[in-house]
Amino acid sequence: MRLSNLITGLATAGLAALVAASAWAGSDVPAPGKSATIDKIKERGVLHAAAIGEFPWLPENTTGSGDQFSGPAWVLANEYANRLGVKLQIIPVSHETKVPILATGEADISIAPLSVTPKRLEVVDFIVYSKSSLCFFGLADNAKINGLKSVDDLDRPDVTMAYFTGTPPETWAPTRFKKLQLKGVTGSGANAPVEEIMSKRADVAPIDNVAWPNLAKQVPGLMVFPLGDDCLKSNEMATQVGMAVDKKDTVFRDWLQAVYDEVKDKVTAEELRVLKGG
Amino acid sequence: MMPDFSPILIRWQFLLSALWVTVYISLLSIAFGFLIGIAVGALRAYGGRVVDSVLGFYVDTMRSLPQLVVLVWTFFAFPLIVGFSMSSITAGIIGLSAHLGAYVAETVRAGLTSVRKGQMQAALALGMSRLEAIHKIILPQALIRMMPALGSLCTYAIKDSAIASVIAVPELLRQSQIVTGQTYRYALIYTTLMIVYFLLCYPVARGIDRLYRRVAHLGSS
Repeated sequence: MRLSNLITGLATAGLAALVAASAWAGSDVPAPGKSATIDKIKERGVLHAAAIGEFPWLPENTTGSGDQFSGPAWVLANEYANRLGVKLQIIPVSHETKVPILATGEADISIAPLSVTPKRLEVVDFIVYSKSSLCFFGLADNAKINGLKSVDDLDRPDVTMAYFTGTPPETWAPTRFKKLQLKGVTGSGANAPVEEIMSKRADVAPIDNVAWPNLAKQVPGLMVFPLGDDCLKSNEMATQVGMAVDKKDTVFRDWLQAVYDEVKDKVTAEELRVLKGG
Repeated sequence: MMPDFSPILIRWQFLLSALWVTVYISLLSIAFGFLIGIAVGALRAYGGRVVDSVLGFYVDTMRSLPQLVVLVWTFFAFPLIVGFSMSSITAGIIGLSAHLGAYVAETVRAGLTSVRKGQMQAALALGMSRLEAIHKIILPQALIRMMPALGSLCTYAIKDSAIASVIAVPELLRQSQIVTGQTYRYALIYTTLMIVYFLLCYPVARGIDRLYRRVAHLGSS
């Protein structure tokens, strides 16, 4: 009886170990020859990651000391580099270059926080780690907008909305707003074209809902649509947010995804930490 | 009331490293631009008609293209054509140097051809070789005549380094934009940025002008 119990126990433990091992196998670094990208990264000893800072997923550290970035994308990128046993090297990019850089081979992965859009899915694959939606802010004393009640009300020919070129609102906004005037501006390094609003060259601008509380805290005199706290529940252009990788190497992409699946609690905790820190 | 400089003071190391990048890419693009320009200018002046036509095409092409387009092409298209990638800083230096080189070439060519032909003929008649005549007679005068224009090109090169922010070179303008993105202190940071560029360029412009005033008489003939 004891022997049969022992055998059953060992068999169960063996099975559990096998299941655990197969689950772990997905995040094991693929063997040489399986992924050209991983082979190249290991050969050079450096993981090239394209990056542009964006709160709360990849805020840039401008104090001059410590890590260059923080946030969930940074945690994940470091996890990838550590598991590959290589150094992480940041390739600075702009909003216009954060996706196309993957095609040039200059970066192995783009850790710039990217909304997952159909157009982008045509050219890159994503490792999704967060989600976002849009709110629209403007000056509270702007007579054109301060009497309006909803996002729908913004769709008027006398209202101008500024957005950063190369960001998802560029393709989404014309489908959402038919009458509103659209104005593309070059990315300034901020989460939203705040300077366009402050200088009154535009009436409203889109901003990620999670970034709005921080903006409202730093720049007084702004209002947001959906009004007040409803911004945080906005469903406007609700998208997933992730990092992008070239479509060619599916083994590399699958490995990145498997690593994320394994450490996603840590990644989510970092996002919450940044959001709480403001 | 004193303005609050804390957004800059807190980030002084970050902004200082950006200033170094600006100085670095400016100096290298000036060095390479001048090397290209002197070689092309001299060859156009003395290399014969065919060489002049070929190099003239380079000069006219660069003068016809916006600096921004050259930089974007160098960063995105060039690596795809030649099959190897380069960092944004390298692409920035190549793009800025290639563009600057064309303007330096025209200044050098104009300087060399401004010295009257009779002087070359006289030097040759005295038994000097063509190279010797250029080195000892033409160049000393031409260099002085080129000085004001070359000085202006140096300041242009420093200022144009800001265009490299478009391809994400972490130079002064781009890093200042990141700081404004975090602090929303546009007036303070961009005004400081203007002052820093002025402090970089003004001594270069005045220094070359002062030097030229001292030696201008040596360039007249």
